[in-house]
Amino acid sequence: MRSPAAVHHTGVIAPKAVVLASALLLVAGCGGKSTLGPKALQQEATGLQSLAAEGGILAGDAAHGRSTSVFLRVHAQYLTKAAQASASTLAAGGPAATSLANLATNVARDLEGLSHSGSDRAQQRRLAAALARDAARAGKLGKSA
Amino acid sequence: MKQFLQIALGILSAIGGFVDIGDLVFNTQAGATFGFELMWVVVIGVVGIIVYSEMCGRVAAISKRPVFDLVRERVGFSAGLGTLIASEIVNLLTCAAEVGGIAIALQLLSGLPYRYLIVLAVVGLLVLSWTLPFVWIERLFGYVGLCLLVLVVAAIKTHPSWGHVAHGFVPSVPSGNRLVYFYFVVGLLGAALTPYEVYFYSSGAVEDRWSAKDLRMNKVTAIIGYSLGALLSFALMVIAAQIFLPKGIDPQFLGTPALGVEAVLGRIGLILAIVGILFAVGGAAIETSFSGAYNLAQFFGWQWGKKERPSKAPRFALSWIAIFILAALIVMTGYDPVKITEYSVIFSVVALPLTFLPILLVANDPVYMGRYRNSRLSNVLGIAYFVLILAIAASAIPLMILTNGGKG
Repeated sequence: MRSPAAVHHTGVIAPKAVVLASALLLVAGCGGKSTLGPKALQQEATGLQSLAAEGGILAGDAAHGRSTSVFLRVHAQYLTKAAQASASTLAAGGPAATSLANLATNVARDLEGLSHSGSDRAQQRRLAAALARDAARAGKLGKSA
Repeated sequence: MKQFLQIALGILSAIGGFVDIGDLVFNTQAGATFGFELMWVVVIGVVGIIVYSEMCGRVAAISKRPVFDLVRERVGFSAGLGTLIASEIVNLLTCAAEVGGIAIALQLLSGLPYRYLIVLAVVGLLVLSWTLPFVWIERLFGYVGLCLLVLVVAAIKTHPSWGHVAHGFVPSVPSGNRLVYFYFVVGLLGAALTPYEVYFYSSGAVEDRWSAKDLRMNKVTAIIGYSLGALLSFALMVIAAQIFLPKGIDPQFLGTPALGVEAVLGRIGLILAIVGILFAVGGAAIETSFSGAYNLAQFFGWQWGKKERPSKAPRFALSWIAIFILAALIVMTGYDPVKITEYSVIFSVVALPLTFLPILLVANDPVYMGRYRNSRLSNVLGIAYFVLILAIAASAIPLMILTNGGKG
């Protein structure tokens, strides 16, 4: 059980702490956009590499007639949503995240194209190659983050 | 001959019903992250579920008492109520994940909107559970779930280095992040030692009025069925290690294991894999909802049983219906079933010792079990697994937090 002194003590400190915290938040806010740290960037890059590589396999299978049109469309949509979420996170991630944010936007666009590619084998082949390149690039950017 | 056929059918449905969404998620992620390194954990998990199931089946056959009846008697009302609440939360989360899994599998087959398919899935489950006897539910989901054997074919067709695969059955120093490695150890054990399967199995044994003459079938079905079912877990890991690991893919979607099969076997393999997933998670959804209803009814002393007419056991019937509906509402919020699975598996590990211990105590109690009490081997295994379960229960949540759910 807390003593009356302690209650009094916290009663005096609490408003000061609130003012201090508010001031810190204000100063942090004046710094501009929030930024992602190296670890967060690396995790985004790894996630992006995974999405692009998975899309690459799906596109390759579709190009060889080894998938169904429904699976291609639905699974590519799941991948697209995840890539778009990553692109949004990276877009707000500050200058260090710019390259990855651009790459995420490309990956999301390619995956969306894949989900609408239907039976266009030529487009699926192109997208398989593009997504494989994107995956490799995400891997490199992740290492340099 | 009739008994042989009965055992064979039991084994087949045990294989088909072995995999649920937890196994699909954790085995695929473990293979994609650590290759073959965690094969040994599946072996430990499968031996554990064999020991636990055999003991529960034997206790149910001889004492005629299911799990939560014994939990309340052995640990008292207050501690028992805590165990019940924890188990019900885990059951509900698992059921939600399975219902979401059914909707995703249906979506991958039909292309229809996910939320409509959640409604369709729950209506289908309610109708099947209401109209079909358990033997037909078991056959339908267990036998069609055998489509998942396509995973074994695909795993072989990836032409892994069998020497490396064999090496994975021996515990070794992890090649990557150690905390993530131990997170997957806990997750794989949790996915194999799912308590709802045991509640369901034990209650079913009481409902079917098992007796001492059923003990051999209980043992053979548990040992062979679960061992062969483990092949599916190994196959998931091999496919992930061969297809996803070299490309740096971190599987986050229920369609990803099916994609692995597609990459090896093409369109037919893909369809068989999705149908297998659909029926595997469908069977598991029914088991989780009924497990939840069994637990509530047994703890509070309500009339219970699938064989009872709903008017004779109304609170039991309302319970499983409510669990299905609540599960559907959880996934309707849009929360990812794969994420729900990760949480439910980790939380189920935490609740596991509370139900394992009463069973171990009763299985060893001569007053209840007479000459069918635990043998020395059963006791050694039971105690060893209880210690293991305590260790993983204590480490599960800290590991989940420290590794950011296995992300490192």
